[in-house]
Parts: sequence; structure tokens; C-alpha cells
Amino acid sequence: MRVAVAEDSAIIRDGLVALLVGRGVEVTGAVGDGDSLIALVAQDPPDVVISDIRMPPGHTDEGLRAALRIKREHPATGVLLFSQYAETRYARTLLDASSEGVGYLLKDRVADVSTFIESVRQVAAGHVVLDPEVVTSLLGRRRADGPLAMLTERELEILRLMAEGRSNSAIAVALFLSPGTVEKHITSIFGKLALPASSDDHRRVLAVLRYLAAGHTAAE
Amino acid sequence: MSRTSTAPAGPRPPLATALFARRTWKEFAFIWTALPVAMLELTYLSFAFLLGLLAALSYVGISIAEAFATGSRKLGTLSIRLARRQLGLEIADPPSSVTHASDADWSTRMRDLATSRTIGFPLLHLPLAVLSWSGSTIVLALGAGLSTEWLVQLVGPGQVQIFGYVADTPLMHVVFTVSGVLILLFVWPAVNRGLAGFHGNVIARMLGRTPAEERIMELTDSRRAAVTDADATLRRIERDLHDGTQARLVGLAMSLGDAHERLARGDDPATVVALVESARTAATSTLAELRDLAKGIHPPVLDAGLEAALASVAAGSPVPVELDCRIEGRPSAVVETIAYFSVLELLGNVVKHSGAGRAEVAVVQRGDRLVVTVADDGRGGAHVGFRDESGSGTGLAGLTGRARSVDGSLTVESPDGGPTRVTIDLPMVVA
Repeated sequence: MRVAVAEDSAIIRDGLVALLVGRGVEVTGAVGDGDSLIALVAQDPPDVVISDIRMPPGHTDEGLRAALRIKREHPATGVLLFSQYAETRYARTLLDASSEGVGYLLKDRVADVSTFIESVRQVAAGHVVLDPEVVTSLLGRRRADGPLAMLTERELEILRLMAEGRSNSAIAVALFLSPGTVEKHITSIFGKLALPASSDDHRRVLAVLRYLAAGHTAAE
Repeated sequence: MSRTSTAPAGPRPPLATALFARRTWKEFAFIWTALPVAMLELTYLSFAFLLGLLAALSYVGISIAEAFATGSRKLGTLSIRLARRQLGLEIADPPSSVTHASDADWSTRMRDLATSRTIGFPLLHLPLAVLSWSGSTIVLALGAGLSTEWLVQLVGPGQVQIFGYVADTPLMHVVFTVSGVLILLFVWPAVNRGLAGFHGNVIARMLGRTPAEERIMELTDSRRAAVTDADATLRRIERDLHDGTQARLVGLAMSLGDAHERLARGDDPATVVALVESARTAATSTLAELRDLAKGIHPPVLDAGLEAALASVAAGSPVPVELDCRIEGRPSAVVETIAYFSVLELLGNVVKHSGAGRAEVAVVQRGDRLVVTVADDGRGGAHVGFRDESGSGTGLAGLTGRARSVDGSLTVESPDGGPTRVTIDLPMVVA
């Protein structure tokens, strides 16, 4: 796996590169702002880009804008946003732009090194990875009279894990359930939310994310 | 109630020469100019009122009324300028509309219109202008007529009648002439002055700002300064936390996570030592950073009083600082904080920019004010800048904002070549 890194804090940038290299990941370059990242990717497109959101010169959403452009110009390159804040809005913008190989994680997640590296691989492979915090705030928009209110606690739990990008079997392991039970719950969730059924894990997750990111206005 | 006008400036000319004083004639010119201005104002008002009545029947009524109100405000400025130039009165421009039409709701706009003193001013101004114009002119004409009566009688045919009296004896001629001269020398200048002064003061009262309005403007300014300062401080703290503390903690978590996995995997502990060491360094530097950050919000040393806090700042300064602190009571905490951070930043400037060999800090209580002075013998050239400039002077602008947030002020004396003296005047107590 080949990775490009954009992060303005030298401490985190160097640490991240050391971490990736130490686990056999090839780092094509590490830069400190969005424009340099775009140039770096244009020169040598990696499998995935890990980018901070808030970077010079404006310290607002430079990383997000660079990510959107990279996704447009190099659709095959995965983009993982790596931020200190879980902003639903950024996640939504990213999902609107692409539903293949995008991710949004809090920087905190790097403490669990293996899971973090696995997330990077997922995004590189074209999957969607969202931080639990982001998923929680997407789900937090649940209203008493909305369709999410019809879900049971267990179903919500499964929905949350799905939204984070976990496969059925991973959800089964995390909740100590049999894959069959998970499958049954998921069918029920899709029925209640009136989402199209699909057997493909990834497509199913996307349907849920679209639904949540859209603020489920269509279903209400 | 005192208004923002003062008595005409300058010494009073001696009575006997008042007739020939430039000021007397300026006042007379004022009275004459004010009359057509007042006529214009009333004409405008009547016209505006009629059109406004017509327009009120339609939806655009209030906008038209507002346009007229703006017009009468502008017209009012004419009277103010006249009084300023001719009478030397200090009158501030009329307060601008409390609201901005574009962002106020309908009822606010109505109230704003209704309370505008400028609008009704012409109703009072015209009678007043007629009074002062006729009063002054009649007395002047009387004086001129009486004093020249004899002369007129000598050169021309016929008789001069004044109030039905005709001078037909030499004694009467003398009485007429003497009283005419007396009127010209003593009565008219006084009447003229009195009328012009009264007229000018009415203009000041009706159109100028009241002390309450002045205060509102000051408070609006100081509130803006306080809000801007608080916002800038919060942003700075967020940036410090985001770029410093949070970044270091992410690095720390990263090192520890890495170390944990390596140990769990059974890697050689020797390879993990470096990771743990970098985690330890990150933890220590994060602590130091947090301590600085907390100190930047409220330095604990300030709890022991301003003098103690400043002494510790002075002791830590690379440029020798002489501290002179003379405070009897204890200022409000917010004043102490502002004084402390201002001195800290000013001494920082001394070290960074002035090239000074020594600095003096004086904190002196004068009544209910606290006056803080920071002076150095450096190269000078300090100035209060604004945010959109190159950045030079923005520190001083920030300090000015802080001082103003509590009704204080900051003055900079810093000629090129030095020395520099910055004085901050703060209230002792902020309620």
C-alpha cells in the first residue's frame, strides 16, 4: 500500500510516517498543506491519502477541499480525512463527493495502531470508513417521530457499526451474535427505513450512510 | 441637564468696544443666516409631511418617511455647522439613527422615526429665528436711527419720528443722539449676544447629542472592544490547544499505541524503549504547554496582588526593569488582569523591538484611576496599528481594545529615535 500524508503539525506528521513505515507501508511523501498535497498526488498518485482538514494558509477546511479535488482528479485514490474534530458537515460533503474509498477519522483513533492501519487499507480498497463519533452525531439527529425512532436498541447498535464500515461478520464478532442474527436484524432495519435490500455489505453501508447524511428527509 | 455645548469660546470683548468686535458681527451674521435656513427647514418639513401623508396610504410610506427623516437630519447639520462656525459652539453631529433601516423591524423603525428630535426641530426653529432676527435687528436699527437722527435732520428735509417722538428741540436732539450711541455701544451688543447665544444653545440642545447619547456611543464602543478582545482571546486559546496540546497528545497516543502493539507482539523491548521515551517527552512538554496556557488565561501569581505579579514579571525580564508600584487599595480583578497582561506584552515589545537598555514600569493610583506606565530608552517608533495592516502595531491595538473594554484608554508616545512611553489609564473598580 502506498500512502501520501498531509498534516501541518510536524509532531503528528513525523509520528504518522514513522508508524506507517514501521508497519511496512510505503509513504510517497509527507507535506504540510493542501496545495502541496494536490501537487504530490498529481506527481505520483498513491493508493490512499491521509489528510488533516485544518491546514495553512487559512486553517479552515483546506484538507477537505484538497481531498475533494483529489477524488475528482484521481478517483482511484482513496481519501482518508484525519481531524481533531468530528464534523458531520465535512463527512457529508465528503460522502456527497464520492462513495468509493473515502473515510473520516478522528486523530485519536491512531492510538489503536492496528485498527487505524486497517482503516487506511479499507479506504485504499475503495470502502467507506467513518469515525464512531461522526456516526453518533449522524444518528443523533434521530427525532422522536422519525423513522429511526422505530428501531430497537439492538438495531441501532447494529446500524451504528454498519455506518462505521464494518462487515456483517465483524458486527457479529463485536456484538457476540451469530452472523444469521445480524443478518436478520439488518433486514429488519432496511425494512423499517424503507431502504433497498442488497446482499453486498458495502452497498448496504452506503445506503445507510446516504440515508443518514441526507438527514433522512425523504423517508419522513 | 448639561448638554454637549459650551459657552462661546474666547474672552468677552470689553463692553464699550463690543460694537466694533468681530465676534459681535459674526453673531449678527449668524442671526441673519439662521432665518433663511429656518425657513428652508420648515418648508421642507411641510412638504415632507404632506408627501408623507400621501405616501402613508401606500406600503412604501415608511421608507419615504425615513428618507425624509434622513433629509431633515442632513438639514439639521446645516444649523449645527452655522452655530459652530459663527458662534464657536462645540456641538457634536446629531446621533445617527439608532437602527439601520435594512435590519430593523417595522415597529422599531417607526419608534426611531417618532423619537427623532431632528424632525420636529423646524417647528421651534423658525419662531426662534424670527425672534432673534427681529429682536437684534430692531434694537440695532433703533440705535442707528437715534444716533444719526441729528445728522439726517441736518442734511435732509422732513422730520425723523422715533416711536412717535419727534426731536424738535436741541435738547431732544442731544437726548436722541446720546441714547442712540448708548444703545449702539452697550444695549445692542448685549441683546445680540444674548439672542444669538440662546438661539445657538437651543440648536445644540435640539440637535446635538445628549450626555446619555454620548454615553451610549462610548458604551457601544467599549462593548465592541470587549467582545472583540474576548473573541480574539478564545480563538488564540483554541489555536494553542489545537496546534500544541492536542497535537502533542495525539503524538503521545500514537507512540504508546505503537509501543503497546510491539510489546504485545513480543518484539524486542529494546526497540520499544525509544517509543516510550518519545511518549514521555511528549507528556512532559504537553504539561509545560498546558501550564503556560493556563497562566496565559489567569496567572496564579496575580492572586497575590498586582505588585507581586509585576515584580515577578520584572524579575524575569531580559531587559532590566525598574518597578514603581504605588497602589493603596486593591483594583478589581479584571483591572489587575488587564494591567498585568498589558505590562507583560509591553515589556515583551521592549525586549523584541525597542533595543532598549532598560525599562521602567510605574503603577500609580490617582483617585479612582489606576495609571500604568511602561517606558523604555529604546529606538521608539511604536504605534497603534489595525488588524488589516501588515501586523505592525496590532499588539498595541489589542491592548487599546482591552483598556477600552473597561472604559480605560491607552496612549503611546514614541517618536522615531525614542524614547517610548505607553500610558494605560484604567478605572480602579469595574462594577
